[in-house]
Amino acid sequence: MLSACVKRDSIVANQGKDDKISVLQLPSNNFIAWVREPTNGLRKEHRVNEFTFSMFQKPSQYLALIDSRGEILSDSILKQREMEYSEMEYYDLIISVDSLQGEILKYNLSSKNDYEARIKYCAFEMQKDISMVNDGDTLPCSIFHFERAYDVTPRCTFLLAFDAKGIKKDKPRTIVYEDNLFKNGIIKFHYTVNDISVLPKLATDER
Amino acid sequence: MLNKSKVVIIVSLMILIVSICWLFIRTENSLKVGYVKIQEVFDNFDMKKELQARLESTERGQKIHLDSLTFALQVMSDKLNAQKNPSEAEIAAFSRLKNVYLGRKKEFEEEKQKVTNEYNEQIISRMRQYINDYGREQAYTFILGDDNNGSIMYGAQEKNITPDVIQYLKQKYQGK
Repeated sequence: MLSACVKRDSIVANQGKDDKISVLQLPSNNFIAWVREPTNGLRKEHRVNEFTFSMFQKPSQYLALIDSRGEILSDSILKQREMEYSEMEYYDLIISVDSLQGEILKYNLSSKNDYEARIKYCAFEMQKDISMVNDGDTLPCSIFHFERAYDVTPRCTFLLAFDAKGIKKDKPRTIVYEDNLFKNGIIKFHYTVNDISVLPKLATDER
Repeated sequence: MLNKSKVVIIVSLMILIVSICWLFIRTENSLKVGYVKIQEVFDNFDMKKELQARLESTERGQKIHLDSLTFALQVMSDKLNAQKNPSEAEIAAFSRLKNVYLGRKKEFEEEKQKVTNEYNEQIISRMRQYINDYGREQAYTFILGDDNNGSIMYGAQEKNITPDVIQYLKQKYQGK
């Protein structure tokens, strides 16, 4: 989509120290495409051997739009949903393996017990291995949900959320995941302040 | 005056020499080679520093635990030595505590070895991955590893890319 190709640098016309003037206005579909575009900084990727770890920061406007499921919402309802979502910072962690067909949790299994241990880890233990480092503070992952895909897709998705009250918005964030699922060690995803705070504006005329 | 055939031969020879030189220069430039001092990269890798700090912190906790057991054993031992005929129950208690101490010590040593191996494997695998990425991004034909075991007997300083690789690994590991 053309709008997804609009680079982050071109959003802001005049960015001083304190003021950010967003000039790019996008209708909802294009806004969603822009947010999802990896080169726009909200989607980070980290390759370790045959594994790819992707982190996707989901802005509150984006979540409100997704939540509407294509329904055209009034400006006030959309704003209200944005407010609700802005109480947390939401991320998706996606783990995939190169050219794998089938369920990722069955990848390189040593026994059936191993498979069950992986499911248990993903469902109940993995949350403690995820944190956010923000201005020297380590914040725990407050909400965690394992989206099990079975054999439908060869990847795992984990929905993460961090309490926005504990986050200093004017400081960069690093999401740290210690991979005890496939034993790849510490994986980090760094987000600058610009990555998260400089977004296109949602065009309001279509709503 | 040179005749026509001699001129043709001289011109052909010149073209040949120029072509060979051009080919040589082109080949020389297309082979991009550098080397890294592996130990230096390893020691400066943030992942190694973080995991080493974690390992040392665990070790400190284990040492405190073992020291408290050693102290308790010492107290019991002094008490037993001070008595002419210590009771069997006291001797059995001392023996039990000694076994606990030895068991814990062995357990900690085994755990340390296991965790060290696991961490080393993760660090080396990650280093290899990042150096690979660096080579691909910077269009290197080869990046050689100097491990001080004679794999590289000599390398010109300008081909030593260790500082650049250390910097790259730092950025990459921090997820930047």
